[in-house]
Amino acid sequence: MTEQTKKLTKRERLANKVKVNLAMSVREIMDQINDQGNRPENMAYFDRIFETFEHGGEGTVQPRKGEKIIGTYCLFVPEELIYATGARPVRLCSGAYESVEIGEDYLPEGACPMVKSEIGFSALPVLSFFHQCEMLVMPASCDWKVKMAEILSEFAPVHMMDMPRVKEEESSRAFWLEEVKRFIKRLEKVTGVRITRRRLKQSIQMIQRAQVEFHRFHRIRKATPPVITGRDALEVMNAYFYDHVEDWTAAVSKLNDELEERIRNQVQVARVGAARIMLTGSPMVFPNWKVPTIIEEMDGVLVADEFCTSNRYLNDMVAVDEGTMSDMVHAIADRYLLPSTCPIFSNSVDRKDRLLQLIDDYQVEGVIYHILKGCHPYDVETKIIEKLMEGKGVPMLKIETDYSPQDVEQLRTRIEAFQETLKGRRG
Amino acid sequence: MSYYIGIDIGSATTKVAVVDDETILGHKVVPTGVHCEETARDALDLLLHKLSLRFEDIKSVTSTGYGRRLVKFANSNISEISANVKGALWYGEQTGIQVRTIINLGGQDSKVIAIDDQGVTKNFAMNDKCAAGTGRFLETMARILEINVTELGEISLEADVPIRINSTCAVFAESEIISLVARKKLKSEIIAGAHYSIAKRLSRMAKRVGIVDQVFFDGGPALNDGLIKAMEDELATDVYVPPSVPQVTTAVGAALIARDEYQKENS
Repeated sequence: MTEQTKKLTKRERLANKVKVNLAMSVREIMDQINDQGNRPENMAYFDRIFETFEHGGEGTVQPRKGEKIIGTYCLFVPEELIYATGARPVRLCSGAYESVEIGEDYLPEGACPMVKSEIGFSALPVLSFFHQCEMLVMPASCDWKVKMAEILSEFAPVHMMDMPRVKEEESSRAFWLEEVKRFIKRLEKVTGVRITRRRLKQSIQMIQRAQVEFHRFHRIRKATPPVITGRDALEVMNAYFYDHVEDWTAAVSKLNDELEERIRNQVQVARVGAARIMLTGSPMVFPNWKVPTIIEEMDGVLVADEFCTSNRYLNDMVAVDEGTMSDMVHAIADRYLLPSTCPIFSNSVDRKDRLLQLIDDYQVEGVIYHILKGCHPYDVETKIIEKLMEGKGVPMLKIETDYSPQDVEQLRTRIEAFQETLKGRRG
Repeated sequence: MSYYIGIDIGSATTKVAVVDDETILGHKVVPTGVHCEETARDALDLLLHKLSLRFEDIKSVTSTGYGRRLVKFANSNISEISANVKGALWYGEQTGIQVRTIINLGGQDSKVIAIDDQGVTKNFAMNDKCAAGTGRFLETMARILEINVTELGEISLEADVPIRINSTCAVFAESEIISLVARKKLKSEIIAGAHYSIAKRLSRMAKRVGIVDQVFFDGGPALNDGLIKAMEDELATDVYVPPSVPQVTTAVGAALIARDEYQKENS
């Protein structure tokens, strides 16, 4: 025992434990990712971002000069507003198993692993960007998030955004608009920058440029046979959490060029005849690559997903009519509420439509419905989606799991059998 | 002055220690070999010679370890749990550390012992027949990587990120490590990964027993700095290793027990 290590506090010791175990997991997953073979060269840009998790998140987020970091906890936080103040949104939704145990000191057993993992990273100095946030923004989207704010306020200032649950009503729309306006005031105070019409217009356009590449990327994903694996696609989208939108857009644009080239050259990433799978349900965040890895290792190919961390992320554009300040703020509020397919809303019509659309667009043969233990909104919706898939004639496999690696082999058997069944149906 | 001897016959090495009424005079570690009684006697003779003592000077001998019943010249024998506790508490006292948890890693077994604040054994856990995650596993790994087992610690500390090793089984680990070597993984990262997997296994065992500071870590593998670091990370606490010879704690404990018993009978 050296004198130097003896001086570590319990908190530092726990942080070291989480850090080294996280590094080991990330290294293992990066190895699996690289084992895929035939990866697009331009994935290296995105790999670098996730490799930083091996070293305490140093360089995961690279703030530009003077840029303040605002931590966000949901897709519902309007990033256009944050960029308009010259600050940088960083989405803190977390997929790491290693910090779950720490979060369990703050939350009940039944809480979903994502919130546990997030609190773990706020409580301990493991990933540096969790501790560089000027403010955390927490939409009251699910029940866990409602209480998260109170717990997280121990570590950083938190701004709650209240959410309507019956989104199609005019009163909900008005309510949410007020929440967005309240957020603007808080942002202006925290950053010391007033959101002007010009600044807001620029940031809306900046994100729209990202959305253009996003849609191009998803059009490319429709290619048969696919030119990019589902895991790489998830990685590209997940990188948006940490990257500056402009840098991300440039990187995806290069990747898209390469992928279009691949389509022309008929480059393949999956075996011919691999089962075409769509994943949906509770969000998946790196390094929780458990299910997609099994799917693609067991002769499936993840052709589409419907996750708030991926395909839903940049799907809906801000529709500005006149470009006045009031018009833009209205348009931003609407973008985040009206088209949302999040199951926290009472009505699941939009979500059902979207899933059916994705099945057709991506020629999906089977749907894997992923529920994180304790994620009530997606769990509640299972039966509805099951029925929907039955009607559509698309088999669905429901998987309930968490971040622990313990059930990998059981999941492997189930997923493998499911994918074999899909292939058997082809006749 | 009176002299007492403790003999600890482990699966890999045999340890002998000599104490007098006040302190430890010396100890010796030798490979156990096939004839463990002879090995113990030879080691003892060498040690006594070095200390200018004769076997006739010895008041009492206590043997411990898995070969304890094979030492016919011992006056008594005792389980390695009790001997380990006795020795660890003695080392603790010498350095002002109140030992409450002992983690011992031997050639083929591992144990965790909980001690209450009065120095009494409260609870313990041991591996069963399986030698997973013990010194044997480290030896296997060293052999595959073609290095000396004493080099493991230093090399592992050079690792950037330890590689996850799933099996600490002395048999299965072989194929896993060979496949990592074949994939051109760095030795340092393989070894560090193995250390973390041992540490994880031990800390699970320790959690069952209950970890209370200070934690004392002994046995041959406690000579390995890389393993100590992994233990401190996994247990998330400081780990105290007795200076220079963590293998002999149990032999010293046995010698101290020989002394206590002798003094009790002759007072």
